[in-house]
Amino acid sequence: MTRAKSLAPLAILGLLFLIPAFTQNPYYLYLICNFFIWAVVAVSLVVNIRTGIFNFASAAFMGIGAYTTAILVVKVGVSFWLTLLIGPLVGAVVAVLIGIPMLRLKGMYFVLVTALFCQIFILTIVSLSEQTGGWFGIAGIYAPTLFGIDLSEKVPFYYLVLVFMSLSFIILYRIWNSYLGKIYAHMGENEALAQSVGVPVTLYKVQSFAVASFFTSLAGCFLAASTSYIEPGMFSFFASIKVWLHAVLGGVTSVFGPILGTGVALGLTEWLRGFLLISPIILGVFVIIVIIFLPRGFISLPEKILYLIERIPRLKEFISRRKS
Amino acid sequence: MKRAFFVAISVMVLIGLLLASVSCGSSEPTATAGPTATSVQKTDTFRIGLLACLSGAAVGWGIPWAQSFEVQRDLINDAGGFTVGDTTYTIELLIEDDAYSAEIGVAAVNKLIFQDKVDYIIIGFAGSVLHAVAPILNKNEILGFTGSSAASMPEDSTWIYKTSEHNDYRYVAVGGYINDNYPDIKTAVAMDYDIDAGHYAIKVFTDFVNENTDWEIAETAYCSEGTKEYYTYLNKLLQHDPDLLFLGGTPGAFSLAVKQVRELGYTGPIFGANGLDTSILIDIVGVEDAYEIYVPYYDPNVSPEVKELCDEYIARYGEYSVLTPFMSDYIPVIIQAAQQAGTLEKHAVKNALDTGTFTSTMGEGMWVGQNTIGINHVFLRDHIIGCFQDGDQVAVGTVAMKDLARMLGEL
Amino acid sequence: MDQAYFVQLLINAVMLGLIYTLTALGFTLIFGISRVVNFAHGEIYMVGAFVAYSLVSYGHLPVVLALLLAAVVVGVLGVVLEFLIFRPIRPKQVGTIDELPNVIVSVALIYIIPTAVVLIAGTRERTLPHLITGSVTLGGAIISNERLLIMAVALAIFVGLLLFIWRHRDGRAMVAISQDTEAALLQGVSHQRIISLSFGLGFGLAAIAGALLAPIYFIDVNMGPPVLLKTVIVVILGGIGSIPGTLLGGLLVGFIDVFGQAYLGGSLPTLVAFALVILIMLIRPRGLLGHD
Repeated sequence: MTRAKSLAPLAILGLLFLIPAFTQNPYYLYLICNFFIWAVVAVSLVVNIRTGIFNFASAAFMGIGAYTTAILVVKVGVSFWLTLLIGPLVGAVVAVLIGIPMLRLKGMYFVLVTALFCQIFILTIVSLSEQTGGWFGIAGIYAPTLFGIDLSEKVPFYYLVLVFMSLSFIILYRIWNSYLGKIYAHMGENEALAQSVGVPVTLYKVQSFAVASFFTSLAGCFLAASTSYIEPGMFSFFASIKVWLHAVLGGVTSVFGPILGTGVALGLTEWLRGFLLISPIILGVFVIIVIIFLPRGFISLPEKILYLIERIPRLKEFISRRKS
Repeated sequence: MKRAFFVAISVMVLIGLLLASVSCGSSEPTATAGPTATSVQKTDTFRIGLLACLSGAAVGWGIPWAQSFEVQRDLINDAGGFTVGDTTYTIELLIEDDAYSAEIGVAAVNKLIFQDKVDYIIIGFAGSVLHAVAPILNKNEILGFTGSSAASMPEDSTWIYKTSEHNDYRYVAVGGYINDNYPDIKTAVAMDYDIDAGHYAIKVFTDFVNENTDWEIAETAYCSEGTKEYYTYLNKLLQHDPDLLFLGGTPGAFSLAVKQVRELGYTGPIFGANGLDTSILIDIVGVEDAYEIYVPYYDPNVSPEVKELCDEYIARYGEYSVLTPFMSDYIPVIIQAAQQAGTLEKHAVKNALDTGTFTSTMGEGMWVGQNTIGINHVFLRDHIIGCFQDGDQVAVGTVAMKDLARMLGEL
Repeated sequence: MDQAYFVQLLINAVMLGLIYTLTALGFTLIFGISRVVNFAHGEIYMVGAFVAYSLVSYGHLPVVLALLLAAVVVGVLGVVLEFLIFRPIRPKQVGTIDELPNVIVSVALIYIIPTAVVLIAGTRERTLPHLITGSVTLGGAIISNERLLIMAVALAIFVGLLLFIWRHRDGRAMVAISQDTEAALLQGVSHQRIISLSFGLGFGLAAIAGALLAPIYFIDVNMGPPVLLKTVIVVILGGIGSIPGTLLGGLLVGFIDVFGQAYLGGSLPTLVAFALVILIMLIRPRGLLGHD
């Protein structure tokens, strides 16, 4: 069992590495890259949710990463590789700076203030139009050349995103299962109790917020390079809502849930293209139905099925009793 | 935990496999009916990709835009299609939603190019989508036709064409008309939304004023997105006692601003940035206050082709839309280029687009832009200037294409 | 400074403030009773305006009647939606991740509602006929009677709601539940009925706010999201669940909007409003008049 457990992730990683062997269609590679990027954002969010931080600022932190990369690469001429470090660090520093005052807020107040933070971010970007291009955005953001390979080409770019996003995921996974992750979970379950047994709650909350923001910003850097163009509208509060949809649809009790949710939601959105006007309705109804039957997301599907199977004998009993 | 772990992994693999299997699924091949025994005339399908904002912030423009193309496609196909060389083509439109988002727009264009294998894509009006997809089109040598009148052209527009009116040009037409007919104007003020299209419109207007008139722009106001209370902005503008007011925004926003500025006692001329349906303006502003409003006019009766298109649109959807005359040249210009090239092969068609001569559904047409954007990729046609009076929109003047080109320094 | 201009600004600020108050009251009511963060609140505001429009143009009702009826229709829609989609996922325990499905269902409504409105009503921008015509001169400024009427109606609705909550049995039950659910239930308050009522009232308030502005503005499918943001600011400024706080927050945002636009221009007032919210949050983490 343990062997299988350690082999399974490797197998999956291997499969993902083999995807370009099956298809080199830029359309699919683009979609899969964006899937990786949004999945890491959703996983970061779930790390926060587990700590009891209902963070609606994911979009802003993606934007911080994306704009740092874009401005440094396009306007200043810094190496793309360096921005992959600077972008997430800026995100983490901003998270610490706003986290210290904001994380004191409870429940709904935190939700709404982080939601507003996205709009503050957009308006700030717009008002700094000389550096950020304002509403017109920044075009021409490409990954660089490495050892003679142009990484902005679809297949190399796919591997670039795959490497960085799977590394991010592995780190987030390790954090999730570490001692630290357990502290996060305890804090999320009962903050007052954690505080009473001497856990420095504020410190850990800021830490969790900064870690999540670091990886969210990193994902933002890659989103900028993936679309090669960014504009403020991409990082509105509604993008945060989208991340929440992915996370909760997949299930926030596991680190794999958000990946599942992101895959299903993005895949379904793309697959529904053919329905044109009514596709948002189909998507919305699908989400509602899934959530009603699986309030804990797709990750709880096996539990739910087992639960239903367990109930079959009781159901039979019930039916036979009705008959007699 | 372990069980969940395995389920998760297996589902992940499933998703991966699913994505991969979808990717291997080939797209529908183009229908190629062989020559019949009785005729040497071959038939084929000509496939054009069309991006439209069918969801998101610009849905109000995107839906009539897509519908107008559907009407035009049906009219051409019902008339037997068009002939290039020895083949008769019927048009197939592949409509994709760009959701007014660069990210989704790039996905849509990738799908059209690499899955549906189209060589011609009409891009919607989202400036963000235009700038995000332009490098892809250039790199893959796909002909793109942008519908955005309120955005700058991408830096590299080698494969990008604009087959409808360009803000930079229509302001020259309408503004020139106002300048000729109101010699007393000294002070102008401008207002638009605080979004990319709004800033671009005012920038173009300012450039026009500085280059072509003696007016002075006393103040510009940008309204925060979604606001419908213009009193404060307008009050601020009116304190300069302006002789001309430049207004942007959607038809509804424009009309509401007109209504409010008239309520505030402004009686002078108004320069509308965008063309608009008579009924929306009259509904919101009312007949008495709808005067001296000058806009780019999309006259449905300008020519038999446009009239047919508009009549069919109204018959189908009940209401007229300015987007119908606005988009009327896209497909006809492609067809003309293909006929001049004698083939639908994209390089030959591009060559024809760059060197050939074209007629608009509204009369003459030509490619300009060398002077303004560095490449002759903007289609110019006669510009009609509309004015609202007595509850109706009438054409008060036309700037002939050649005159406009001269004003732009393109001839 | 020009007195007439100032009066003009003042009237507009109060009018917008009252409208924001009504929407925000709906939002805070729903959250206070059922703990649903209704991200689709802006869309409900939009639906209210469209229902009023349909009642006038297809039902040929008088405008005032159409406005009130729109609130009722959308209120009923709220009760039905609560029954169909929010009740099955109601969390057993508050303050846990069991509450998250609520968020996602309201997000799903953001996808569904505007699309449905586009399919039914089209995308054309519309307007409602005037409520009344004419204008009065106040302090040198010309104020249309219509704006004054809208203010009066909004204020009347606010006062009516206040009376309902303070005097009526169900209103008091609402306050009790929002303050302490378990204690209220022990005293025999019917939780279910109160939740339905809160959705009805919350949706109805958003709808009437949207419909009230329709005769002086225009309506379109994209009018929801900006209103949602304003609502969120008002709610946090005033303090969740506090009715006087919501009024204070609403008026504050109305004033920032109008006077900020007059003296700062562009999107700066919005940024100022946001900065103010953050500042107030730092000083008073539960809003201006919020309680624990």
